[in-house]
Amino acid sequence: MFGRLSGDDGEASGRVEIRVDGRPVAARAGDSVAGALLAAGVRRFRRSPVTGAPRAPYCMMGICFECLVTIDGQPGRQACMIAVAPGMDVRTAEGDPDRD
Amino acid sequence: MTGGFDLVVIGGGIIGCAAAWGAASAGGRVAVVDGGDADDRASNGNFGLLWTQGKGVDAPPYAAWTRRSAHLWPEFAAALAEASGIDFGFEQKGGLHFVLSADEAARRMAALAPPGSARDDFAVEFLPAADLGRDIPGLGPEVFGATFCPRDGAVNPLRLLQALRGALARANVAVFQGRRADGIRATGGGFAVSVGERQLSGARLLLAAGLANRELGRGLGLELALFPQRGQLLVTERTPPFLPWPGTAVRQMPEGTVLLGSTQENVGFDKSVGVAGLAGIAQRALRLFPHLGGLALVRSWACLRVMTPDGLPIYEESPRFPGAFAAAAHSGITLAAVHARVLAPAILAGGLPADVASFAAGRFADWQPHDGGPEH
Repeated sequence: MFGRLSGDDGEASGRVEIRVDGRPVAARAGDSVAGALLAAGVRRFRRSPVTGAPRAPYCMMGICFECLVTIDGQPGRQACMIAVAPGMDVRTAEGDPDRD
Repeated sequence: MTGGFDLVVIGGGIIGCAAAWGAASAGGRVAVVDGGDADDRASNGNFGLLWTQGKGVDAPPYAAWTRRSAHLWPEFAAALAEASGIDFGFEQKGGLHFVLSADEAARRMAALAPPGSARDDFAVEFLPAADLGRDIPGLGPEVFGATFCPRDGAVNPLRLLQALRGALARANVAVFQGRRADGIRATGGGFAVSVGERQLSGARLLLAAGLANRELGRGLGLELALFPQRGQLLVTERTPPFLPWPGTAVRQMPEGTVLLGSTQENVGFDKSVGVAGLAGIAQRALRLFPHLGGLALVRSWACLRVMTPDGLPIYEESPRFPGAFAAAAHSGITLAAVHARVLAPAILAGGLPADVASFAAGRFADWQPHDGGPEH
């Protein structure tokens, strides 16, 4: 659904590798976690704790809390407000079924 | 001159919109002058409870007025949802007030359900923690129980306002949003309201502008004893459903977020939030539900209650300019139904309903105007 405007994955700005649900994902330095995940094709970030419906980033600016993921073991982090860091471990609702 | 309104309402919050929609539903031609986004808007920041328990314990007319509204709410809610096409989360299947000790429970029950009080559908009963625990997972060990009134309930207050605005539009009520009433004058048989370059003429006028009623009222010979009382609130991230009834300090919204409130601070026109107030709210909530400690807080905010010296509403008609009315209350949600179905038609017909006779502005004749600062 989302792709980068210039095809590269960080040759110019610096490449950062993170792990998403256990698999390696290439991001660019300065990417938000949400941006990196969307560019990598991740669609389901979390599930509604009431209905179980899959949810994804909406506002991308820290307001809607739809993009919550587990980052380095800490649940409920706002993926759109946190920059990627080398080796960061990200778990979405798909990869972290206990976190509903 | 934009003319011929039966009623011009100043104030587009819950009270103004409910009255306007009620008047329009009763056949009146109505206009609403709303203020700007930066105005103090209690309707944009409140907790959304539809509440009777504890209301009017020492003021029977207030208890009666509140209960009348609670009785009218199901019909009002259904009609408004139909008229607006907006679901505002109306529920009226009971509400809880948690207590942490036997003492607190005894004191509260003595006030709310004294021996010999009516066993009607507003009767408050005490539910011990052991009973509550069956329906409320995660109830903290410090909770002694809760008082429960089956007529209490809640709405999503922002959606309620949206529904009223939508219903007003569909009822062809002229709503001037982001506009102030720059001037109001009596024209003999009516009122002219300046809104920018426009002049609205109405046979009757209702001031429903919250705290701004004080200033607006003066021009119409109404001394209204109103002052701001700050309430700070918190909302958590969404979490699985655990609380099937709204409570006075904690309610879970249908989307899963948990609203926590609220402070009662007399600090003037100051809508800031602070660690001390918010920490107090959070600490109390954690004693009720320890598991909330694991949730992220999404937002905090404050709004200003429209308070009177005795905490009861004010309804008044200007003695100098008959036809000019004022309404002010801090329970605009609870009273929305009675405002729409009783107050508005009465004003349209030219007078206040008998139910509100004891809420006249004159009861505060000795009141020294203040802004609710720390000295008060």
